[in-house]
Amino acid sequence: MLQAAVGVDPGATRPLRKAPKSPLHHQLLQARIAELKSNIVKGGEREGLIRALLYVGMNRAAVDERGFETVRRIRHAQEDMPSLPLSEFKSLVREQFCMLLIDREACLAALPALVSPDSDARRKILTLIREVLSSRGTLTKEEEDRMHQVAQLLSVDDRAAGDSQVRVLPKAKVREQLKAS
Amino acid sequence: MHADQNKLTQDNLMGSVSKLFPAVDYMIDAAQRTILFWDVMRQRGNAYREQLAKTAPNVLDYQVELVVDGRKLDRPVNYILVRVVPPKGIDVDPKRRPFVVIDPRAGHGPGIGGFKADSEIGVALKAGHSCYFVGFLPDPMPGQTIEDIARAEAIFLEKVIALHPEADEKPCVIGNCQAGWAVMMLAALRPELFGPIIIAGSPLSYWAGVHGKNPMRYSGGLLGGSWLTALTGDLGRGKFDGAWLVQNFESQNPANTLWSKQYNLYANIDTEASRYLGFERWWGGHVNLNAEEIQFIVDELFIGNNLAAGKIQTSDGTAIDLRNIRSPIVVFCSKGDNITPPQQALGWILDLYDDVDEIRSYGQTIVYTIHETVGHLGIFVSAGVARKEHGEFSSNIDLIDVLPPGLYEAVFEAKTENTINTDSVSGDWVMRCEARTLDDIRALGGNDPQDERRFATAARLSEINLSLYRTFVQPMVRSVVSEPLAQWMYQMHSLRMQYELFSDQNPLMAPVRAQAQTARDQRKPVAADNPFVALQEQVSKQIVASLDAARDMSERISERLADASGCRWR
Repeated sequence: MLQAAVGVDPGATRPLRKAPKSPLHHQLLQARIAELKSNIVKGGEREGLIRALLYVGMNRAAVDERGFETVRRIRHAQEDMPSLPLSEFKSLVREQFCMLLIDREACLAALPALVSPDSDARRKILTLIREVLSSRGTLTKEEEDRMHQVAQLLSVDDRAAGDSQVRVLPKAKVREQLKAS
Repeated sequence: MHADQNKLTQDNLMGSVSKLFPAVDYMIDAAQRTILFWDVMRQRGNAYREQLAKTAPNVLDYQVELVVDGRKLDRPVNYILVRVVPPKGIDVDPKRRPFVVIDPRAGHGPGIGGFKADSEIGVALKAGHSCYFVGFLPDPMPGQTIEDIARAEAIFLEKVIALHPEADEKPCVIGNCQAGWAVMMLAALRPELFGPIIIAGSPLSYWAGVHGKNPMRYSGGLLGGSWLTALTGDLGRGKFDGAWLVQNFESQNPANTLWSKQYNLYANIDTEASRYLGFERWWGGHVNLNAEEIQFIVDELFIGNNLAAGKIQTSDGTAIDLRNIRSPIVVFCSKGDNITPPQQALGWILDLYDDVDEIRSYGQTIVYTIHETVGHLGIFVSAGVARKEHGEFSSNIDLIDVLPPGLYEAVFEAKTENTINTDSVSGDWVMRCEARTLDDIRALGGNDPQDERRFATAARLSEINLSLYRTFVQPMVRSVVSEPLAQWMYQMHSLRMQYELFSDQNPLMAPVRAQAQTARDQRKPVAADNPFVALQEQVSKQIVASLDAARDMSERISERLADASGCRWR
């Protein structure tokens, strides 16, 4: 009775404090999705690398500080690449991540066109991805499969890349190699 | 010579007696501890008076320089922005984003975010970030509102951004406790000013909690709501005495307030005194609010729970929508916190979103971490927490910033010999952000629709009682309370009295100083295995247990009352 007296519907089952939704947001969202979709085929080496890295790594649904630190070190080590401010890196990651959520197949299909056709450059991409993802431990089966899939897309033999760069080295040496980089 | 000999024989005598009677040992120790205890109380009273005499009392452990004085803005407020001068040996990197720590104005004075080297400011400086601090003066400017403060803080942030043109990103803003909601409101209105936001122990969903715990959320409804706030403001002639807020806080844990805090000092008088005095310097400094400010906080937030629901509007009619925030939000809360339980710190996510995809659709990144044990104050005061959680957040702030949108839990794994790649780990923990879903937040427990209705009923009752008070009682109260009466009541507040009474102002305290000196010179701490010490410990535990039991009972009663008033009368 008290509830009814003060105007609270005693039968109400909806949460009484919930943020309202707006059709405008839905409209903006659709526009943004369309924009992202049209951008899937756009981009270069950088977009391709981030996309491949996210694709292989996103299945573990966790980001480790060691992986990020490795990315940072690679950035410092690569003097030939133009510098990329953190804010741009941030939006690059966001965009590629959203694209992968929206249309994974199209993203993968467009991947080879983004990166340079040179097979050495492509192999380097695979090595970098492996370096970042293995900074917290060995890759899972699913991640290996995805690595393989990316390698096939780029028409590079990932086994060759792996053998020459990482796999033949015992774990301790991988660590040394990372320290050096 | 003679005196020396005398003392020698006395010592011998005492030595042999004490071998026979541990009781004598204990009595000497207890008598000395008692005197030393009262001397600490005297020092506490003096420190309180010293703080009171300052224009800008604070407990910051750092040298600061004033950057912006909020009192000189177009809409003056009692807030100030200061730059923390990095201590010797600490180099800040101008390329790294600055940190801005905002302290809560919830009854206590400012400075707790930079209380010592192991603090939010300390760890951010150590990670190479320039640090700024937003504090406040003890008295509000006439007529200042919560919105004015938000405007001032926006000006502060603009200034910090302007001072760091080289920095790679926008400042990271830390809002402690009640500063957390203020930061979130501002970030919703001016998202472009913010880098990552860290809110520590901040309540944002005020009805949330679980049955049998979190009784503070009922306090709004039980006494008929916020008319009491209005009355307190009227009794202060438009000013709300911060000591009331402190008292409300203390009453949450009577065993600690009435007994443990003092007992811990008494039992460890030789080692605890400086820590106790340091903390009390903060705890005893009370700051005031304008009656309008506290009325807004109580009505809109604590009782109304309107923030996350987007029901608060600024004076120009802009609705505050927390979904507007573009920067990553780091929520740090604890299961041991009975002031802001995890449900209140995280429930807003459920009020705003239906699933993680919706969070992503707004481009928002939310990272939370729930400490298992630490209490409310420990979240910003504890050295261990500062080193671990705050330290990891500071050194990994860029990682948090580039996380793709979504909901994550920050997990800290101790660095051990088996940890691979330790050279890319900062600090003693490896931080990992793991993706979570809203079900993980729901699993913390919360309200069913029936609970929601009870809180909504309490909120409506509060509004009705407030308007009744304003119509029929307020004019009378306002005409009766004169300025001297308000001043007198302010001085007589029991929290203030306990500090005043034991300072050097009180002539009866004068001998304590000399006696304490003597006790210190002749200090004979009792052996740790003395049976009477064990007995004393036992008695103390019983006192704590009975005070806790009394509190638990009264909490259960208030929960039942709240349930009954909203439900059974239906």
